Amino acid sequence: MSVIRFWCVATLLCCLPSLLGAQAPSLESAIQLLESNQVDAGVAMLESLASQDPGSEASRILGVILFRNGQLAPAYPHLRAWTDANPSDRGTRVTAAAAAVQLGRVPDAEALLDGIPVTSGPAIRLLWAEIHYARNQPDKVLETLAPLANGSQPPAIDLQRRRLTARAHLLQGDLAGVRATLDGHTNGRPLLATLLAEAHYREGNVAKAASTLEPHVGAADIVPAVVKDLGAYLVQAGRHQDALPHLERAVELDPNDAASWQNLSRARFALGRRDEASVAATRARELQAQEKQGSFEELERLASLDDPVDAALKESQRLAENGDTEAGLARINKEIALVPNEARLHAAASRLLLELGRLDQAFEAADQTVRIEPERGDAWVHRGNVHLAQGNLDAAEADFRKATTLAPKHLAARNQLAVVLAAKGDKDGARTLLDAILNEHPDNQVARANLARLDES
Amino acid sequence: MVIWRLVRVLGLATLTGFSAVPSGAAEIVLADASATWHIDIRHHHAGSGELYMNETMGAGVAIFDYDGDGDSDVFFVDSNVLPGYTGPTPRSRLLRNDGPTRFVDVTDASGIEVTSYGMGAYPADIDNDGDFDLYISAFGADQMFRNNGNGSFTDISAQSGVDDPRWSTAAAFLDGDGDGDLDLYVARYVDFTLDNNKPCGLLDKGLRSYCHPDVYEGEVDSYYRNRGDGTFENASATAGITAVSEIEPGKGLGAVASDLDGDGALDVYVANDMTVNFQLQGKGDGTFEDVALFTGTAVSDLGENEAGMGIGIGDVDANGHFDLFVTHLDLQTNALYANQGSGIFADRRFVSKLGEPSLYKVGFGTAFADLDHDTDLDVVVANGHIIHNIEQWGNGSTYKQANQIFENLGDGSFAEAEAGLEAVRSSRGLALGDLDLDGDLDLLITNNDDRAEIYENQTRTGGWLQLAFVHPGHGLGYRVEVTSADAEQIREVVSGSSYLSQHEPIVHVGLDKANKVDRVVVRTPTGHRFALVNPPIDRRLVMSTARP
Repeated sequence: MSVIRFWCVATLLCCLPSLLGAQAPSLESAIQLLESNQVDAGVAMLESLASQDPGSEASRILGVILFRNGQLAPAYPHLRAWTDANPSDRGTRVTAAAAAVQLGRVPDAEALLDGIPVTSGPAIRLLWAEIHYARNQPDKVLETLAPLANGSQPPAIDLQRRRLTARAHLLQGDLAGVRATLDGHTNGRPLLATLLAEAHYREGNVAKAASTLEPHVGAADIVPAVVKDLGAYLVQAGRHQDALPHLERAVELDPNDAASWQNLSRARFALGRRDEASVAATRARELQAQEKQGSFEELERLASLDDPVDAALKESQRLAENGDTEAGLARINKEIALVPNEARLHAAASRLLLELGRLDQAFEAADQTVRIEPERGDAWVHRGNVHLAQGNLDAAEADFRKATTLAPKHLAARNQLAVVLAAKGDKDGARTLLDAILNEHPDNQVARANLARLDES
Repeated sequence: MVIWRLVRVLGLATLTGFSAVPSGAAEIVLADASATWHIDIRHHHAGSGELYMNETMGAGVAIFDYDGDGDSDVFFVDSNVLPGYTGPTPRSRLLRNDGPTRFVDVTDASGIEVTSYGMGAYPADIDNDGDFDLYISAFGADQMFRNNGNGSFTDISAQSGVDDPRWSTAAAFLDGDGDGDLDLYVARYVDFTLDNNKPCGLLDKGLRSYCHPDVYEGEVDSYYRNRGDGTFENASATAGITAVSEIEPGKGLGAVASDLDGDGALDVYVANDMTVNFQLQGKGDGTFEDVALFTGTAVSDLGENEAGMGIGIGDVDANGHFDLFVTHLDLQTNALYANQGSGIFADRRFVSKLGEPSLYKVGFGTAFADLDHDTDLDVVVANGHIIHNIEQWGNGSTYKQANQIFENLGDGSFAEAEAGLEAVRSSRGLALGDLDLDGDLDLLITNNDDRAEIYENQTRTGGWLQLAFVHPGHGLGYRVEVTSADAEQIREVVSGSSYLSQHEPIVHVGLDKANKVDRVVVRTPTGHRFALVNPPIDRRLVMSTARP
């Protein structure tokens, strides 16, 4: 987060003179509101301006403000809109790259940093190190950060340099490297303390792991891992009584953390509090049962690094298949906030909304798909499906016909068109379509089922 | 009163003149014995490109003396034909041990025809007639073969009552209700069938792969009560096994029966794949309670579900209590659950130095065994990825992985040993036994859709003692304490453990420099005890009660 703040402060400061000199009256008004500490009103005005003119100065300012407040997901589309329109603005590209890294959009970050030499400054090195870390390339992380180890760096840079270096060593299994990086540098830095404690633990020194974290318990609100990990280490060390308050704090900070509930059940059980242990154990099992990923999570994360939209679609599909359609939709909406013009996302949202029976919203999503990719047959099929669900047969027919015009062999379009024609009483027209499909694809079960229904009616 | 008698002493003839060699830091030496022992067995996954999930799970191997001639024979499990498969017909095979270093395929004569897609093999005397019968876990109906006592078997799958068609993997026999016969615990995996095969992997990149277990639902395990005549009734509900799955069924791949809490009643431990493990505390009356979440054996050291595959069991820290070792997927690390003796286990995966070396391995079969006779238990792990095209995922993982041996350093930690496990394949099953009756434990490793590996232990070591039991029940579940000058060792005759495999059901102890054993105390699951004072060493002692 410090890297983010570093960049956003720098970027905001550099843009302020131009903000103050902005000519557009509404932009000027927004800036005046911000300067007079009416932040909400100023941001609202900027949002209005940015939505009217994506890529304008309003987008840039809004993106930077949101970024500075740690609202990375809302900031990112505005920053991207600006950098797409103004690729020569290196400062904002770096800010956008920082956001992209934090949001797991590694290829975006790489593209945004393209042409900006790693030697441009420590923050650029940190960003590249973050990218290498996300790509599971610890050697490159260490190579990139090595020049920063010489000489003194600002505290924020030093913190991030040590954090990333330690993580790279952990990835390599070089626990001595972690200690060399962090020993004597964790005072007041709870995040680094958690990494050093992990190294001690993985070296088999549970007591040292616990004692490394104990001074940082007060920072649990900022870094909840302090109490979560400390509780776990103390349980491993057999210090169940000592572990108890930390684990209770951990589940208070994150009531959905199965691991802390599990360790809490162990501590309570060891202390003879069996009923309370059962409560915690049941909670842990319930949460663990909900945590199904349906995938080789880390392996797929690395493999999907280059297509975050696809990763989001897959995750959404898994959630929906597991019966949580709302969660699947939320995952899609989260991605839409980052990439508003990706038709695949709107199409997926439309499907899920249709499933949930929210037809108006399903139509909006499908309509957005058509607006983004009017030349793709799929887009029209999605919208036609919503029309069909709404009972708008004429509109559905028009959309399916449009789809077949764009993609004459589109199976779903032709099948759905047949359904509409049948519903409108044009059985011959429907039969002609279905016969044509089955002539080309004798195994098409949808067409066969539609034809059977047609014969029965 | 139960009268035990020593019915055979093996090793006197063959090992005359053998003397204990002080081991010190003896280097573990294993040598490929496939050719010299005439064992040429290959597993077939029988896939045709449909990527049915069962294809990648491999199969196991069992070591047991089916013909009662004193040396142990070997049963290799194979799969069966899947739709679209056109290769050689898979066939599970029984190899008879015809004296040192010679194994003969006697599958035809044995009458054992595994008609399901075989997974694991578990020998046990289900009808108390003194010989080993054989249970086969399978993808498809499980099978039971009764030993006719003349070298042949009869398929009694239907009448035995254990021919459940759900996907079963690991199993363990135990006398769970103290009635003197062996009951059966069967771990089930997931509800995958050939008809609900789903496309998985990086499909958009054209990389279809085997599915993660989370894609399918887990299945409730089974507990079968032996009626006393070698047939079984499904007692899962009354035993408390069904209730264990109330929140979520497990996805079992490993199972073992052992007295983990030292109360005399056998417990069952189940390693589940990405669901919590079960530690089923036996009450001795045929009922069980899952205590894993309390004792610390349910999940990882940091409280997270892991992909439990195989199980090792033994008193690895010599504190008088049986510890557990569970193998996992890569990027998880294998776990050592050290039994503290108070019903609590401590996860010592990193303290023991067993965790870090497994970070990039996918572990399956495993065992604790004193390979160098220095009185402590070493660790063997069979490794291999489950994703056949993992190299193309671009994360540095490989499908074929080296197997590992870790030598117990005696201070609670282990060091990886260069022991001669040179072949690199995608390994699954692992079973240990003294196949050449030379006093040390040899290794059998099965590999998925590949040939099996056989390793003769050639470590020059100190003294040893083995105990084998014939009747009743071949001693499954017996706890043995061996006291010598330098060490007090506890062992168990274990049913289950490893992955889909059965180690030779004997007790094996190394004696290091000790030139005598003071005492051997045996405790049976029914509470009987008997002792041997100053038994001969460097021998296998075969014990039996009178048959009914």
